[in-house]
Amino acid sequence: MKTKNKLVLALALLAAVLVVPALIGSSYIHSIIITICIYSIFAISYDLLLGYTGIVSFGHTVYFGVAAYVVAFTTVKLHWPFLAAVGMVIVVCVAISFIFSLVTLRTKNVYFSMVTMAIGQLFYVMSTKLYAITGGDDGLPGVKSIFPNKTVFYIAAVLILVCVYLFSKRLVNSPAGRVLQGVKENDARIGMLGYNTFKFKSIVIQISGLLAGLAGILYVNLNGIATPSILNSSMTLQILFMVILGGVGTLHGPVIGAAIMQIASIVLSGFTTRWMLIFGIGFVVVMLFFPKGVAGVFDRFSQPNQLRKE
Amino acid sequence: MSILIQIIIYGLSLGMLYFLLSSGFSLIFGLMGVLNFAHGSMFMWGCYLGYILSLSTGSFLFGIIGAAVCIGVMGLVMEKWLIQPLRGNQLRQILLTFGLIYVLEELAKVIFGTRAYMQFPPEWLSGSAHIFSETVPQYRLFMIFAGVIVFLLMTLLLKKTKLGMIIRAGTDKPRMVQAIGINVARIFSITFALGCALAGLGGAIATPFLGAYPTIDMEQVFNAIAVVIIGGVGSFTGAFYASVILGFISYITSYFVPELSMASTLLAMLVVVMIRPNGLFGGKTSEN
Repeated sequence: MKTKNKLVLALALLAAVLVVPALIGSSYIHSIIITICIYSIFAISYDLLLGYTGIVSFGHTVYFGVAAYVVAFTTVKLHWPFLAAVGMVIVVCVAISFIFSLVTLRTKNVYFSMVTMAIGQLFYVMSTKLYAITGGDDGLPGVKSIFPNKTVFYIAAVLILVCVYLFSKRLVNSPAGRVLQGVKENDARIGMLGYNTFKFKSIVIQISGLLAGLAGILYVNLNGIATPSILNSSMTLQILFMVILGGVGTLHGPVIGAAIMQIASIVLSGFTTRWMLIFGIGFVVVMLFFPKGVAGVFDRFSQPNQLRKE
Repeated sequence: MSILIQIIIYGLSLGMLYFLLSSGFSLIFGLMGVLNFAHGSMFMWGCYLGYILSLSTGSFLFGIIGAAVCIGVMGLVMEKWLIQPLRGNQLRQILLTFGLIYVLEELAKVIFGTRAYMQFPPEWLSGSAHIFSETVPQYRLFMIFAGVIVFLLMTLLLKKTKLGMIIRAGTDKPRMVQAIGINVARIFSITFALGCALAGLGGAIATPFLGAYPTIDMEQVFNAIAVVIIGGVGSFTGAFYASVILGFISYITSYFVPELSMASTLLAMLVVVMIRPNGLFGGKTSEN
């Protein structure tokens, strides 16, 4: 009964999100919600690593940025059709994430964080220096959106987000997802039980890389340009903040976090150009006092009787 | 011959700069297990403070020492209010220091603006010196000198004083040190302040060479990370050797392939991770 209510509620919410702005919303509001969807997908992909597998990667923007660059380069410079570009993104993201996991999974915990951060920076440096491919600091402009107008894009973005959410939910509740959560709790013990933890981690890095790549494809469709700023580590901070603000280890948390961040950045940037300062302070405060994020606070109120698993 | 001397002097001075930058990072990480991503930001603030202090007092030496003291105090405050409350939770500490990068960077932009400050070396260091018929800037020699002095002083501190003994013991067996009744929290505060002061010193010394600008924090924190990975955690001498090696790699690549200069230290680090995940000079295992 309860799950049925939840399902009805979710469907009603989805219908409202789809129908209401599609009828009355301006193109500007559509863009904002599309952006929220894109960052939600990106944040969910990050939470699969951070919240469910306990992998703290500071190089996750690599897939997002590279996907955007691949689409921009193949469609603008090589005049490929969009679907071919998407195919290329899949190949590149899987290849990069495979190599990424080969290099980084040799290290553990803190080392892993350092190495992933360095790889992220390496891609950022390359994007500014490899002028022939990336256009340097100016980026690669001129990507045409495949969606005829913002309303269609908007509906597509919401539906893709829902698909990604459902896919991730299925994934984390599958037997493989349980193994991943076991890896988070105790890597060595899962290894002792006979699971090849390297393989599981490598696979989740690749899945998460693909999802981040999907977000990158949508991003470049919306903005029409790929610039080095999407590979910058401040992007990592933003995505990290979305996941942590919303709630680590939940799938609705990243969506909440992405929405809060996006709306906050629009509001704050109206007041000051240094809005990253406010974000940074907010991040530090959340880290100090609310490590479970908004979803954690919410859960605490909605399930007072359940023993919370730590 | 002349190019060889040039590479030695320039590479070594760059290496000493990396050493000043990363020795504190390595010290803090080795003892406390705190990966202070904001270390580059401390370095950047050292750049700004060194510039302002030496400009306002007219004394370069006062500027670098003043910057080191100010950043040391900053580190003390940071450890007390931000790092200590999260003790035992390494992940939250890492994420917090990662967020601090942006707080400190944006704060610097608010106070100093986004422009780059150029500082000239003081008069007694601005000339050039002759080594085997090769002319090199005196300031490069000063950087090497400063690096070696700091290395010797820190080695003395670590090997000959009680504090150094506790720090070394704490790096190897933190629980044991606590068990024999040493106030570990206080040692952590001192070490963190000391590490930050070293970053401030490095920043102030680097300003006449690199300048002070808002993105220098991110550029430099990666060098610190590379030094720690290559040198091995908790190994102070390892950090010294790794810095020198990176200085040479960095200078040689920027000499022959300028486009790669920013990526060279990162690439060197990745190669070391592939071959020896624990670093070239031992130290603790990466399991830590």
